[in-house]
Amino acid sequence: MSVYHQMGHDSENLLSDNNLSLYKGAVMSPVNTDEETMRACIAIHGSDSFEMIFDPQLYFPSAERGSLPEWSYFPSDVDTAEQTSIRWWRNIVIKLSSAARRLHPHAVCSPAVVPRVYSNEYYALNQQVSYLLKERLARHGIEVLQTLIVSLSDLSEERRPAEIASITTSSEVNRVYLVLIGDLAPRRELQDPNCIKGAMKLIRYLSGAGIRMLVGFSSSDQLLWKFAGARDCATGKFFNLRRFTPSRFIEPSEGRGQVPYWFEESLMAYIRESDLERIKERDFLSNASRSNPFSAQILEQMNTAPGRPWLGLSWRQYLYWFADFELRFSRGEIEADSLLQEAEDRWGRLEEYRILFEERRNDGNWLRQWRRSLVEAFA
Amino acid sequence: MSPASVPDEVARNICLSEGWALLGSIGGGSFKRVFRVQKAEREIFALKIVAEASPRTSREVTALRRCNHTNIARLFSVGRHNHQGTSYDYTLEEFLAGGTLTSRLDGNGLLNDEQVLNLGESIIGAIIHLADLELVHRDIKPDNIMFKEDAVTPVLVDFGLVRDLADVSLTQTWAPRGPGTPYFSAPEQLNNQKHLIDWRTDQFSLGVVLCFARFGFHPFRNDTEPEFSRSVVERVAARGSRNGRILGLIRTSGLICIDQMTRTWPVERFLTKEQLIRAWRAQRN
Repeated sequence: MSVYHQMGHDSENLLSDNNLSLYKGAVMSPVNTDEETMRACIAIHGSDSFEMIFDPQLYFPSAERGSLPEWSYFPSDVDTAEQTSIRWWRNIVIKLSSAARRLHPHAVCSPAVVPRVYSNEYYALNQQVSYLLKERLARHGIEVLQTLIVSLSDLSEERRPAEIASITTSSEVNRVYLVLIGDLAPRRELQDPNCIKGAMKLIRYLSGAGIRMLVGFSSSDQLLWKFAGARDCATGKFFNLRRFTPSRFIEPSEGRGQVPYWFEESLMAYIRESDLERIKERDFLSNASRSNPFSAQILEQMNTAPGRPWLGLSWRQYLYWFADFELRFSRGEIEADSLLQEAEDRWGRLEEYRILFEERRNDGNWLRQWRRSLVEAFA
Repeated sequence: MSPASVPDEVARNICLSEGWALLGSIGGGSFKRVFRVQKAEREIFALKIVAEASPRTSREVTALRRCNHTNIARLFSVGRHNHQGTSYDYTLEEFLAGGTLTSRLDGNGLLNDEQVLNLGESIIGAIIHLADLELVHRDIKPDNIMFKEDAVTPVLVDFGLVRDLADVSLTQTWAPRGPGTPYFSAPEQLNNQKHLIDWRTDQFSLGVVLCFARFGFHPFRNDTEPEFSRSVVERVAARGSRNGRILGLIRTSGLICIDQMTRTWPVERFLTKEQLIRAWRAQRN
C-alpha cells in the first residue's frame, strides 16, 4: 500500500520534502527534462525504500510536448507511422529499453498511446507491447508496469471492465499502471456513477487476480480506487485540480494564473481561501486538516501575512493529505462510505448556515454519486 | 468433409506403400477418418486420414509436432497420398487403447474424487504445456480425452481446432461463434471474442469436463434441464449463473478449483499456470 509522486513540471523539490516522506516512490515524466537530468534525479532519489518508475509518456506522441521529442525512444515517424503495427512498437520498445538501461529506474511503464477508439484490438496490442518490454528488461532487473489507458465512458458499459481486464491479463502481468481518461473540466469531480463503478470494477477484477495496481493521475478519487482494491495511487501537485481530461498531460506553467486551493477532508472538496475563512469559523476543519503541517503553515500565513500567495503550500497541503489518507485507509481507520456520508451531511449544514462557496459548482453534489458507486459497484 | 469421403481403399493403399498392416477402422470426425494399423509386432498406431487438407489440418500437424508431453497424443509421421485425383493427408499417431473419457463415463459411471484429481492434474499439465507453446486446444471435451493402454493415463487428442496465438486467427470476426464443441466451450468461444481466447479458455472447458465427470452435470445446467440442453450453451454464452446446487457440491467437495476454472470471464479464472497447478495439487491435502 503506497502513494507515489506523479512528477510534473518542477516537482523534484517535493521528493526531498521531509513532510512528504510517506510517499514510497515517484512516477517520472520525461516531458520537462532530458535524459541526463533524469538519470541524475533517479540516482539521487531512488533507493530500496523509494521506487523510481519511468513513464515514457507517449500518450499523445504527435503533440508538441516539451522535451519529449528529444528522447531517443521518441518515434521520428510518429505522424506517418501505422500505430497499430506491432513492428512499429517493437522499435520503440527496443529504444525505450536501451534508455531504461541507461536511466536504471526500478520500473518502467510500457508505452501506450491514447487511442481514438478503445477497442479490444487496442488493448491486445498494448498487452503485447508490454510483454515485449518485459522480455527485454527482465534480465536487467527493471520491472515493467503494463500501462492500461481506459476511457471512463467506455467503462460505463456493463461488460467492459471484465473484458478489458481479461485481455490485460492474457499473458502474465504483475503490475498495471492505470490511466483513466475522461472529459471532465478542471476543478470538477467525477459525477457519472456508471463510469465510476466501471472503473472500480476494472480495478477490482485486476487486483482480485493478484495484480498490483497503480492508479496514476489520481486525486481525491483515490478513495474510490482504494475501496476497489488498488494497492497504489499516484498524484502530483497539479492533480488537486485537474483530472481526467487529455489536457492534463499538457503541463501548466509554474504558478502563472493559478489560484491556491485547500483540500478539506470533512467536505472531500477543494476550497478557495475565502471559503476556508468561512468554514474555519464554523469549526468545519477535519482532524486530517488540523494535523497536516502544511495546513498549519497556511493558516498562520493567512493570519500573519494576509494576501501573501500560498500556491506552493496548497500543493503540499494536498499532497500531505493524499499520503496521510492512504495510510489511514490502509490501516482500516477510514470507512469509505461513512466518511462520504459525513461529508455529505456537512455540505447540508453549510446550506443551513447559508455558507455559499465562491465556485457555484463546488456544492458537494458528487458525493451522492460516489456513495452510490460504493454501494452498487460490487453489490 | 464427411468420414465417407475417406474410402477404405485409401487407408489400404497408404498402409501398402508404408509397409503397415491395416487392422480396421476405429472412427471418424467431421474432417477425418481414423484407422488402427500395425508397424511391427506389438506396435499399434492410429492412422488419421484427411481428405483435402485445410489450413486447420496443417496447424494441427504443426502444433502436434511441437508438443512433447505424456498427456498429449504423440505424432510419429505425416504423409500425403493421391487417390483418383484427390489428395489425402495422413498422420501416424499414438494409438490409445484405453478408450475415451466418454466411454469410461458411459461404462463405469462417474469418477470419484481421487480419479478426478488424477485426471485433472494430467490434463492441466497438458494445457500448461500447450500454453507454454502459445497453443490453445479449444476443443477439450470427454470425447477428446483418451486413455493409454494402462487405462489410467489420460491423453488429450484431436488438435483440429488448435489455435496458435502467435499466428493469424483463422476465425472470421463476423462469425457469431468461434470453433469448438458448444457444450464444453467457454463464453469467449461461444461469443467469438477472439482477443479473449488464451490458455484460460482451455481451463474453462477442462473445468466443465471435470465437473461433468465427477458430478454428472455441466455447472451451468439447471436441475430441470435435460442433459446437453441448448439452453446450457446459451446460458454460458450470456455469462449467466451456474447451478447453485452443483456449485455447492463443488465447493464442499475436495475439488474447489473447478469453481474458479469455470468462471465466465477469463480474468476471474486462474491467472497463471503455476497458480492453477499449485491450487489443483493443494486439493489433495
